[in-house]
Amino acid sequence: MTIRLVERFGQYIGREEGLALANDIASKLRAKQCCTVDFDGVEVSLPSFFNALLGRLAEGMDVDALESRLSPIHETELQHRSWVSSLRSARTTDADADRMWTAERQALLG
Amino acid sequence: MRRRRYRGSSRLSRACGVLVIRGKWLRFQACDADTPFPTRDLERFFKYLSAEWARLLIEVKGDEREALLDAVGEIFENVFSHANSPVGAVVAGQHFSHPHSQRPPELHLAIVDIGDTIPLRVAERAEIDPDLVDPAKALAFAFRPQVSSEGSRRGSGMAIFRRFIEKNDAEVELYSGLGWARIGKNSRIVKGSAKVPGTAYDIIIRGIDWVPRPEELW
Repeated sequence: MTIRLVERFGQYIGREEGLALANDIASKLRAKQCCTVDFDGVEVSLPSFFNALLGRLAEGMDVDALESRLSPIHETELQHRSWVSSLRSARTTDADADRMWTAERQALLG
Repeated sequence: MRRRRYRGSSRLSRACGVLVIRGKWLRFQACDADTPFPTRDLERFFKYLSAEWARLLIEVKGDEREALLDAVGEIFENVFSHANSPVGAVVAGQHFSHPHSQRPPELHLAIVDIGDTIPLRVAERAEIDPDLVDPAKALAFAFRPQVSSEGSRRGSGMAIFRRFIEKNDAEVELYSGLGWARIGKNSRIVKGSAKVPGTAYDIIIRGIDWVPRPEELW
C-alpha cells in the first residue's frame, strides 16, 4: 500500500498530518501489512511530521517491526535524515536522553 | 554622487501589538493582512515566506534552504501545537545591510505569540523535576532531545532547530515568559528581567544580501 502524501495532505505537512497518517495506518502495520509513504510533490515536511508519525506508531509496536513495514520513497536527503533521526528518537529511552543532555545543559546554563 | 541606501523591508515597524524586548520596543502589527496567522495554515505561512523573504534565500541552496524552512516552520508549528495563543502567530522580518561596517548582512525573522510560555508549559513537569519551576532551567529543558508534551518518544523539534542554528552561523534570541535564550555560537540561557507575555523568536540569518525591489530604493 502506498500513501501519496501530496494527495492526502497537500504540499506542506507537519505534526497534525503526521498524527493523522499514524492513525490511518497503525492498524494495518499491526496486522503486519507493509506501507510506503511517497514524498513526491511535498514541498515542506517539518521535523514534527516525522516525529509525530513515527513516535505515535512506535508507542504501539516494536520499532524494528515498524522500520521493516513502513518505508519512505521519493524523499529528499533531508527528509531521509529526518526519517532516520525520528526512528532513532523512537528507540532512545528517556534515561539515554538524560545522559546525553546533562553536559549540554550545563553549557547552556553556565 | 548620491549614495543609494537600502531601506529594506520593515514589517516590524508598523504596529498595534507591542512587546518590549531588551529595552527596545519591538512592535508588531496585528492587523496587517500579511503578517498575522490566526490559524495553523502551513500553506499560507510558507507562501508568505516565499513571497516576502525567500528571494533573499536564493543564495541558500538545496539542503540548507530546506533545513532553514524546516527550522522556521517548526517554530510556527509550535505556536499552534503548544502555545494556545489567542491571536495565533505574528510573523515579521527585517533586513540589515550594514553597508558602513564589516558586519555581514543579516536577515531577522521574528515569530511571536501571546499564548502559554515555554517555561509555563515545561513547569507542568515540575513534579518529575522540581528544578523546572526555574524559567531558565525550564527553557533549557525545551531544547533537550526527547522532550514533547505529547509523549517521550517524539520530542526533538526544538533540539533540531538548535542544531540547525548552531551549524549554520545563525542565531536566535528567544524570549518566553521570564526565560531568555541565545542559541548560536555562544549559546546561553538565563532568567530574564522582564516578563514577556508569550514567546518571541528573533531568528538571525547572516550573509544574506538584500536584493531590493525598485520601490524599496530611496
